[in-house]
Amino acid sequence: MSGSGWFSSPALDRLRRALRGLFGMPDYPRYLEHMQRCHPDRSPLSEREFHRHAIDRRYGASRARCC
Amino acid sequence: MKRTPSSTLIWLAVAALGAFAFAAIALNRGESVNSAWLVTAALCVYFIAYRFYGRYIADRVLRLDDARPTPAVRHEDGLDYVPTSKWVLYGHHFAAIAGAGPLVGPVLAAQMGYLPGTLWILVGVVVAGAVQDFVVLFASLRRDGRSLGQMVRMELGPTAGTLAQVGTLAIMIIILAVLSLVVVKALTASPWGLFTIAATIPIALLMGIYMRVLRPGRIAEASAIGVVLLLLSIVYGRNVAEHATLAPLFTWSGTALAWGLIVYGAIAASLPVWLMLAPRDYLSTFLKLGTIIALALGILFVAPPLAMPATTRFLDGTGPVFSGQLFPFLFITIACGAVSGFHSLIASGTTPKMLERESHARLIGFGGMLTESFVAIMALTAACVLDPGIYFAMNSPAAAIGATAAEAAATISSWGFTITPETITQTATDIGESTILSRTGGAPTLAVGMAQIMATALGGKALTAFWYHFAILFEALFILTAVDAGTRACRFMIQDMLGHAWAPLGDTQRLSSNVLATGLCVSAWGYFLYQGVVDPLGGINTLWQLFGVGNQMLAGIALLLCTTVLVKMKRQRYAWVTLVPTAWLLVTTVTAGLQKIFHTDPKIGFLAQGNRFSDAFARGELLAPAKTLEEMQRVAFNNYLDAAVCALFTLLVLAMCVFTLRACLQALRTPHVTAVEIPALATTPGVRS
Repeated sequence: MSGSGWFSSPALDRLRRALRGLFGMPDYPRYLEHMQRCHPDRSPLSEREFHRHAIDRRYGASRARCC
Repeated sequence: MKRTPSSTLIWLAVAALGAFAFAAIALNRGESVNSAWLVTAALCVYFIAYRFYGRYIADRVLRLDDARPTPAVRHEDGLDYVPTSKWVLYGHHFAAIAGAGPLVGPVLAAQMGYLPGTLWILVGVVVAGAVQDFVVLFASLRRDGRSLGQMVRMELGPTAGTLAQVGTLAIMIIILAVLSLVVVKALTASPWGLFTIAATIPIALLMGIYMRVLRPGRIAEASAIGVVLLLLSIVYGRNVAEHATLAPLFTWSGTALAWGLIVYGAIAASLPVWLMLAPRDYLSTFLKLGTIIALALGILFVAPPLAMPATTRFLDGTGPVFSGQLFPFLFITIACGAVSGFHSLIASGTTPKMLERESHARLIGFGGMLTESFVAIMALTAACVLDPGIYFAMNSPAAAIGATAAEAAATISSWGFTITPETITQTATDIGESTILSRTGGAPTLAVGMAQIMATALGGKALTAFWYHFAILFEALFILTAVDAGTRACRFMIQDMLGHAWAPLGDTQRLSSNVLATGLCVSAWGYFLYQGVVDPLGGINTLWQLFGVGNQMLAGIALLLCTTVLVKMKRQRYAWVTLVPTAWLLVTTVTAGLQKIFHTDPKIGFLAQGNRFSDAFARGELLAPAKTLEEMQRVAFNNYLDAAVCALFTLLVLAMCVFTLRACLQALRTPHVTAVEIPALATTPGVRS
């Protein structure tokens, strides 16, 4: 899946990921990849849930851990 | 370390260029020096420091080891712990450490001329600042991404940990107060400025809803919308400022703005993060990176000459911007940009959880700080390209230069910086403001300097007012983000402490406990802010130095921790790398702290000023600016309070010295390594090599 709908080319996608990283936004495709690789038994968060978690945890009080 | 003939040649060329730039600065005394030399000299210093000293620390002192998995690799969860490409993380880390600090401090220090500030920024960053950020990041990497406070607890013991926690909380409160004061000073009686800043609130809310409800996680789209709306708010701000009924609505006094900010802080810190804090943070990161790059290009292309002399007569400590001699006050006025304790909190926060390999720590820790130092050099440049007369008109409190352009021009000219009242009023008209007098706090000065540079590069005089308000918006936006995020962080710290006393008070899910902790935090910084706004000397004078002492104290604590870590790793041979900056910070911070408390000059010493007011009160006399005896008492009390805060910082850092000494002596007596590191393991499976 490519980041957003407008264009998609590998170079643009890389740029998009880099920019998100710059802003400290975690990358959803990468998270999916990680879940598939390490926890194939668990169902991953949806994109909406993922972004909610990301923001709440980034500024939240408790920085709980996953694995 | 590869050393090919071509790389040797390149580094010799960099060294020669740097030496040439310094020679151009040193030999051109009496005539104005072009700012391009300053920037070139700085860049050469950074490159050489990064290549040689940074490498020495990485290879010899810390011995970074890519075979050791970083916390990001060990705990990879795709969310908090994500191994990140080194350049992306460098940008992210830089955006997190670069705040208002490196912009304000150098502007204030420019009252002594451009040379003292430049030298301290360059020497300080290489010897102290970059080393601190790098070693703290390294220590945290080897301790599973632990925070500074936790590491102090681990390596120096629980009492030291608690003291560090108290110190961090106190410095947070002072930082929030002084940053808010910078905003108040920039926006007082400035309808254009206030309108654009106020507009950021609905813009952030809109972006927040967009990213949460409409298109989750699309920060690029939301930020693009936000930036366009922001630019529109700057353009239409002029119409608001010229509108007969709207202008008075956005023309606020200093005290009204202070109350506004206090209420804003309390509400913003209580809203859900996604609604205001997160979108505003993206917006400010966007503007921050963009503006810094634009300013660098502007200075490079315009290459304006420095109008400020290399040194001024105010080296003697009688300057109007801040009182006190070069030693020790220059070294606490310029904190961020040379060395900033605050960075140790970030280098032990999210960054170590994202680092892919240990060897990346040099670019991110050491290199990130060098970049921040470059921002400080640019801020200093922007302040020094201004006519010195304008600089002093903007940065001197009304008590020193009077309230009219004529009085100010006469006073400043008598100091040896010739300026006419017409130039002062013309500058105000050019930037679209009613006055520039006593706009202390650094932000407006930087904005005028930036506006001059940017307008020369793009748009000419017609756009000066636009660039000025753009620069004010840029600074105010990330200060407000800091106020919001800082109040929240402060609240968690208070809850953590209160939770030890009575568990329900520490419950972050409980509304009453949240309201109580937010209230305590906001009233604490709000008190110092209000006191700064009504201060006879303009507030910045007092608060910025209090902040400087606190920030450098935190840097001292971080460097003491770094030294302990090195000694416990049995690398005491290299302990000088952190001991030298520690010693310098201790000497300057403790001297400044003691002078701020005990100096007999009431302009410098808090006790002397407090006594002056309480003695006059006892005699029933009124001293300006107090208008009633009650106010006299309050001024006296505030000075005693400032003295107490200063004493707290000084005692804290001295206590940490004792703890460090004890821990180091014990480590030296023990024959084996005593540092509490995560043991080196083979890289866990499932991770790219």
